[in-house]
Amino acid sequence: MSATVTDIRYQPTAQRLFSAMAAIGALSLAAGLVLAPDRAWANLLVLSIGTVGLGVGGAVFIAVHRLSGAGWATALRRVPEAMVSLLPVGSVGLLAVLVFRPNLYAWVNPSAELEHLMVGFKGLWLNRPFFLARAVFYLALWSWLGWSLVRVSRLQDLDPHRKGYRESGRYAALLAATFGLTYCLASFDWIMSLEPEWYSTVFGFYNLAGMFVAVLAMMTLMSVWLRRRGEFRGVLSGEHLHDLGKLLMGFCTVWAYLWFCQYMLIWYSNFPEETGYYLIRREGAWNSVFFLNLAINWILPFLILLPASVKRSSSAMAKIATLLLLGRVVDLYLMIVPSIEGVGGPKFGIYEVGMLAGAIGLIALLMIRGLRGAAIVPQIDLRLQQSLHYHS
Amino acid sequence: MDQTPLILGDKTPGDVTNDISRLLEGRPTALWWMAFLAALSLLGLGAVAVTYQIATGIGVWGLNNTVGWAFDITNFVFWIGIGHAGTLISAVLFLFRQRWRTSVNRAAEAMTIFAVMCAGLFPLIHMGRPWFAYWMFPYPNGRGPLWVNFRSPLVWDFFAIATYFSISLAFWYLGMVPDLAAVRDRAKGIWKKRIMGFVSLGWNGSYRTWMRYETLYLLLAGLATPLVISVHTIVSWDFATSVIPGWHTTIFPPYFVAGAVFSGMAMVLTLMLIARKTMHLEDYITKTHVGAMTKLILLTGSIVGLSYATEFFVAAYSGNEFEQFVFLNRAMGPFAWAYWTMVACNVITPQLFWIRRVRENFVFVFILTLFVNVGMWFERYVLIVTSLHRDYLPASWAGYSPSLVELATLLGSFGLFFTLFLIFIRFVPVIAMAEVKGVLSIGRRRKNAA
Amino acid sequence: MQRENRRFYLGVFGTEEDILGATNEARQRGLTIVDVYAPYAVHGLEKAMGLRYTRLPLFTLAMGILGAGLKIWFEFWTTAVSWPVNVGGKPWNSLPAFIPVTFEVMVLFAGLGTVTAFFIGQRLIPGRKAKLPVHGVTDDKFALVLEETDASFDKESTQKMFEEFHVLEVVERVEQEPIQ
Repeated sequence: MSATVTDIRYQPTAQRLFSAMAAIGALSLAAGLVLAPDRAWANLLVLSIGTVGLGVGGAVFIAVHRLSGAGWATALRRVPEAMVSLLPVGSVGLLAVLVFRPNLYAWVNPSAELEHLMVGFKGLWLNRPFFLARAVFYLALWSWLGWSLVRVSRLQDLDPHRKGYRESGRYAALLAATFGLTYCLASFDWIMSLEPEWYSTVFGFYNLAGMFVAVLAMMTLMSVWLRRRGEFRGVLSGEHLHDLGKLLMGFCTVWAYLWFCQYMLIWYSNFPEETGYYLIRREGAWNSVFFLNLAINWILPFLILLPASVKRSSSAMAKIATLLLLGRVVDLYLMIVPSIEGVGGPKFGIYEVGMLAGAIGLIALLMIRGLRGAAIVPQIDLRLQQSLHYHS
Repeated sequence: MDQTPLILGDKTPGDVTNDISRLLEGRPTALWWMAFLAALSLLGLGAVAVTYQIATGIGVWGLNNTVGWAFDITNFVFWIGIGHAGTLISAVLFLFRQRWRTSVNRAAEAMTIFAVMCAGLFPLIHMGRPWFAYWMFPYPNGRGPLWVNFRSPLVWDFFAIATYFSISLAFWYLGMVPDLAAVRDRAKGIWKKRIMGFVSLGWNGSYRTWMRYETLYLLLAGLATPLVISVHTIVSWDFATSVIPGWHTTIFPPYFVAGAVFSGMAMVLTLMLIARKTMHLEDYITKTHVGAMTKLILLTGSIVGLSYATEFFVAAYSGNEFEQFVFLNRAMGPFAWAYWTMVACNVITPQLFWIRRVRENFVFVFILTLFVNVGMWFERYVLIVTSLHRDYLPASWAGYSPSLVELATLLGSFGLFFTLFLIFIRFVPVIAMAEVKGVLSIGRRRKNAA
Repeated sequence: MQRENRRFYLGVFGTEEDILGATNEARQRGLTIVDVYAPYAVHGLEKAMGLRYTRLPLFTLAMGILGAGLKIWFEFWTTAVSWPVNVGGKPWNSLPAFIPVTFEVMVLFAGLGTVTAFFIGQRLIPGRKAKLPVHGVTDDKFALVLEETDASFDKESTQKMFEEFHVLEVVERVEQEPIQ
C-alpha cells in the first residue's frame, strides 16, 4: 500500500486569523518585555511550559498506547504525532526565560531572608549552570525520543516491510522509563523553585496530571476538527469520542484528586513553610482564580461529561476540550504567577490576552504543519484494523 | 486480524462450565487437605495469640512510648494493600476493557474480601478493648452525645474500610450469581441443589436481567474505581496528616495507591500461579494473563520507585533537617537492613520484568512476586517504625522489635487468609464462567457454520 | 378469575451468532419476543431484542447525591452545631476534612442502593426458585422465546427461520404467564 500524503491546510480566513493571532502574540511579548518585563516573562514561562507539556505529552501518549498494546487510538495517532512538533518552539520559549530572565527565580540572587536556605543540597541543586544544563538535558531527551517515535511511525507508512513495531517499542519503553522522573524533576525546577522555600512531593505528579488532561483535550479537539473537515470521517467513530470523553473525565478527576491531596494535607498539617504557597493563592483576587481553577478543570467538565450522550457529541466534546485547555493555562498561571507577583491578585490585561492569543495562533499553525507531510491515518500498522473497526 | 486467544484449547461454553464446575465436585485432593490443615493451624496459632493479647492487654507487644505504632499497623496496611489488586482487576480493568481480566477477577475479588477481613482485624485488636469497637460508629449516645471526630483520619479509615468491604462483597456476589445458577443447574446432590438454589436468587439467564446486570456491573465498576483509590489514600492520610517527618509528605496518597496495587497484583499472581498448576487451569491462565499482570507490576513498581526517589530528593531539597535525618536514618540507621530489603524487592528486582523471557518464565515470575510481597511488607514496616523511633527529642529515641505474640498474630492473619481462600476454591467457581464464556471467541477463527 | 392461556414458541440455539441472528430476524419479522435466555451477556443482543435503556444509572446518581448530602450535613452538624469540640485548633467547619467520609458514604449509598434496586427490580430474591425455559440456558444453550400473539403467527415459517440458524430444539408451550 502506498502512503497517500495528505496536504492539509486551513481555510484562507482561518490561516490569516491564526497568523494574525501569532503576530499579536509576538507584538504583545515585545511590548511587554519593554513595558512590563516581569509580567511578560512570567506569561512566556506559563505558555512555554504548557506548550512543552503538549509536545512531550503527545509523545508520551504514543508511547503509552504502544506499550499497553491497546489498539483503539492507532487511527488517531497522527494527532499526538503532530503535537510533538510543538516541542522545539516551547523549548525555545522556556530556555529564553531561563537564560534571559534568571531573576524570576528568587534563588538566583537570594535576598537576605532566603540566603540561609541556599546551603547544603539545595545550594548545590539550585545553581544556575546546573539548572540550565538540566533543562537542556530534559528538553533534548524528550525531543529526541518524541521525534524518534514520530519518525519510526512515518517510515512505517512508506515501507511495509520495515520492522517498525519493535523499534517504536524500544523508544516507547525508553520514554516511559525516563519520563516520570524527568518530568517531576523539571516541574520542581521550573515551577516549584520559583518559591524556593516551598516544597511538596506530589507537585510533579500534579503537574503531570494537568499536562496529560491537556494532551487528551488537544487530541479531542483536533480529532473532532479533522472529522468535521472530512479527513477523519470514517476514522473517528462515536466509540472513539466516547472513549476520549471517558479518558478526559477520568484524568481530570485524577488531576482533582492530586489537587485535593496536596491542598488537604498542607491545610491539615499547617506547617509554616508549606502553607505559604496557599496563603498567597487564597488571598485577595487570587482566591477567585483559585476556585476558577478547580471549577474549569474539574467540576464543570466532570458534571457536563457525565451523560454518555455528551461524550458522543462532537460539538460538546470540542467545547469541553477547549475549556480544559484553557483550564491548563489557568492552572499553570496559578502555579507560576503568584509566586512571582506575590500577594494581591492577577494583573490581567492586554499582555496576558495578547500572548495567550499568540500562543493559540502559533500552536494552531504548528499543528497543521505537523499533520502535513504524512498520511492522515497511519497506513499499515498492525493495530489499525482493530482501531477502525472497533466498537465497545 | 489475528490476536492471541485469551483462552486456549478451543473451548466451548459447555467446556467452560464443565472445567470449572468440576473443580467443586468430587472430593478434595490430598494436597488441598494438607494446605488446609496447615492454614488452619496457623489460624489456630493466631487465635491463641489474639485471645492472649486481648485478655492480657497489648502491653505484650514490643511497642513503647516512642514507637507507638509498629507491627500491627504494618500488617493492617499490608493487607489492605493486598486487597486493592482485586478491585483493580474487577473494576479498573473492566473500565479499560482489558478482557484478560475475566480469568482472574473472581479469585482476585475473593482475595480482596479476605484481605480486607485480615486487615480489619489489626486495628480492632489495637483498640485494646475490641468490644467497644462500635464506638467508632456515630450513633446518638449517652455521653453528650459526644460524636466521633470527623476531622480524624482514623474515623475516615473506619468509614473507608467499611464501605470498601461492603461494596467489594456486593460486587463479588453480583458477579457470582450467574455462575452459582450454573452450578445449581448441574448439581446432583439434593443439598447442593438447595444451597445453590438459595444463593443463586432464582437466576435464569433472562436477557432482560442480563442487560440491567451489565449496566449495574459498569456502574459498580465506576464506583469501585474511585473507591479503591480513596481507601488507600485515606490509609496514607493516617500518616500524612501528622507532623512526623517521613510521614507528612504530599506524595503519600498516589504513592500508597500505586504500592497497594503493586503488592496486590503480586499476591494475585502468586495465588493464581499456584492455582494454575494445582487445579490444572493452564488453558484459562495463560502467557497473556501472566504477561499483562507482570506489566502492571512493572508499572506500579516503577511508580513506587519514583515515589521513593521523589521523597528522598525532596527531603534533601527541602532543607528541613528533620526530614533529611529521617531519610538518611532509613538508609543508614538501625533499620537499614529493612530499608534495603524493601528497595531491592520493590524497585530493583521487578525491573527484570522488562525482559520478555523473564515474563514468560513462570518460575521466575513466581519468585519475583514473592519478593514483591516481602518488599511491600517491609515498606510499611520501614515507613512506620523508622519515622517513629527517632523522635524530635533525642531523649525519647527508642528501638523496636516485635514480640512473639505479634509475630504469631501476623502468622495467624496469613492462616485466616489462606483458610478462607482454600474454602473459597472448594465451594465457589474459581473462574468467572459467565465472563469467560463471553471472551472465548477472541483470537479464534470462527468455524463457518455450514 | 381464570386467566387466559398464552402460547409460547421456543427455539433453543447453540452459539451466540445463531441466537443473535435468530433474534434479529424475529424482530424484523415483527414477532413478539418475550425474552431471550443466555448463559452469558452476549454483546449486541439487547439491540437485537430492541430493549429500552435502563434507568439504573439515574438511580445511582440520585442515591449518591442523597448519601453525600446527608453525610456532609451530618458531619457539619455534629462537629459545629451539636457538640463542637476543639481538636488541634481546626475550625468548626473543617470542610477539607469532611470530604473523605462524605465521599465514602456517597459510594456506599450509591453502590448498595443500586444493587438492591437491581435485585428487587429483577425479582432476584434468596431462595426464589428459578424458572428456566429449557435446561442448559445457564450452561451453553441460548433460548429465544416468542409469543404466539394471534392467529397470524406462522409456525411453519418461524420454524424454517429457526432452522436457518441451526436451531437445536423447538418447543411449544401453553402457560398462563411468561416464564419470567
